[in-house]
Amino acid sequence: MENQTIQNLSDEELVILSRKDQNNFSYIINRYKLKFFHYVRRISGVNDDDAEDLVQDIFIKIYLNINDFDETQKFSSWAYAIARNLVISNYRKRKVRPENYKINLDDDLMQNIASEINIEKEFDQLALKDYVVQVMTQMPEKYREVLILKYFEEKNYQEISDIIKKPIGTVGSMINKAKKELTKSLDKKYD
Amino acid sequence: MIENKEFENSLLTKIKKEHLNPMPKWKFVFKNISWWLGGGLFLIFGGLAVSLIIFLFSDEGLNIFLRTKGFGWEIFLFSIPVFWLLLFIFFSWLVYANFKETKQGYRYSFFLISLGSLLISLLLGLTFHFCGIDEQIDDLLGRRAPFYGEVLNPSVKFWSEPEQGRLSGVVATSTNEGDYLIIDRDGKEWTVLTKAPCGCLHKITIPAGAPVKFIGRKLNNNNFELEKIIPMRPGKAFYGKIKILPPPPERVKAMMHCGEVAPMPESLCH
Repeated sequence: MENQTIQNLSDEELVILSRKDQNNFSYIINRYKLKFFHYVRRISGVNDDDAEDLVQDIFIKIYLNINDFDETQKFSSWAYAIARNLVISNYRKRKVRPENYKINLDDDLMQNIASEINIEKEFDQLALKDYVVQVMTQMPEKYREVLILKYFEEKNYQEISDIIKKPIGTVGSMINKAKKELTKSLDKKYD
Repeated sequence: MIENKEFENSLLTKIKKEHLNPMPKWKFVFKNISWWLGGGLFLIFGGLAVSLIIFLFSDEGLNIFLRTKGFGWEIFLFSIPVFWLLLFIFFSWLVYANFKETKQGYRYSFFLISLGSLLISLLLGLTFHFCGIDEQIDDLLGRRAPFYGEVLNPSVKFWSEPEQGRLSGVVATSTNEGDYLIIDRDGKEWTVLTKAPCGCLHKITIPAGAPVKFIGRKLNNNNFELEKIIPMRPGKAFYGKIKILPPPPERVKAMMHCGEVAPMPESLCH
C-alpha cells in the first residue's frame, strides 16, 4: 500500500494493518507521539526526557496489547487509557506524585475555558491565564485530569469515560465540580 | 528527538530487536470471560445466601412466636441471620468488583451494578428457596459446619432460652398425652409437661428423635411447662446430631402422670 494511502486510513484500520505487519505500527506512532508527549507532560509534570521515555513505553504497551483493542471502539480512547495507566504506575514506582509543574495555556485554550466557565467580566487576559493555570495546578488530581482531557486533549464525555474508566455520569459531575472550583476561585480573586 | 522520524525508527528497532510480539487475542478473551464467570459464580453464591436468609428468617416457628406474644424490635433484630447477610454483601461486592473488570463494566455506576446484582440475587434466592436448596444446605451445614449454632443459625440460640419461654431439643421419649423428655443442644435433659388436662392439647404425639421447639414456661431446673409445640425446620440436622440415650425408668415413670410412653425407635437407641 502506498505511503499516502496508509496515512489517510483511520486509526482503527491502521491497527488492523499493524497486526499484520509491525512496520505499519510506525504510522500509529507518528500520529500519536506528540499528542502523548504533551499529555504525559500535562498530567505528570515530568521533564522532556522522562516524558519521551514514557511515551516510548506507552507505544510498546500499545503494541503488546494491540489484540485487546476492539475495533468497534475508538482507538484514541483505548490508547489514551493505556497512556494514563502507565503514567499512574510510573508514579507508583517512583512513589512520588508531581506537585509543582506548569500547565501551558495558549490563547485559544484560554478562550475555550473562559467561555465554558462563563467568565463575563473583562479581565487582564494575561493575569487571568496565569491564575487559571495556578488554580488548575492546585486542584485535586482527579479534577485536573478531567479538565486536561476536556480542554487540552479535546475529548468528549464518552471518550473521557473510556479513558479514565468511570461512568459517563461520574465524568459529567467531575467536570462540573472542577469548573465550579475554577469559577469560585476566580470570583474570589476578582471580586 | 520525538519530533523527528528517528523516534518511530528507534522504537520499531527496539520492538524487533527484543522480539516483542502482541499478546494473542485468546488471552484477552479468556481474561474477559473469567471476569464474567467469576461475577456469575458470585451471583449464584449471593443467591444461595439470600435463600438461606429467607429460609432462616421466614422460619415458621419464629413467625408463630412473634404473633403469639408482644415482642418488639429486639427479637426481630435478634432473628436476623447476620452471618448470611454479611456473606451476601460480600458476594455482592465481589460481583461488583468482577463486573467492573469486564471490558465495558466501567460504564455502569456502582448503584446500577449493585441494583442489578441485588435483583438477580433475590430472584435466584427465591428460586433456590422454592426448590428447597436452602433447606438442604442448612441440613448439610447443621451436620458438618463448626459454629453452626453460634454463627450460622441465630435461631438455635434464640430457641435455647428456657428462662424466656423458649426451649428446643430432640425428643427422647414422649407420652401419648403430650409430655416429653427432651435433650437440649448442651445435652441437658428436660421434662416438658403439658399444661392442659390430659389428652386435650395435642392430638399428635411427636416421635422420639424428632427435633422440636417449645414455647412455654420454665418451672425449675429440669422441668418446662408446655404451651405450644413448633416443628423445627432450620437447624433440624444440627439437633439431629444430639445423641439420645434411653431414659432411666424412674424418669419415665415420673412422666407418666396420665399417659403411656410412646415407643422409642430402635435406630435411636445408641
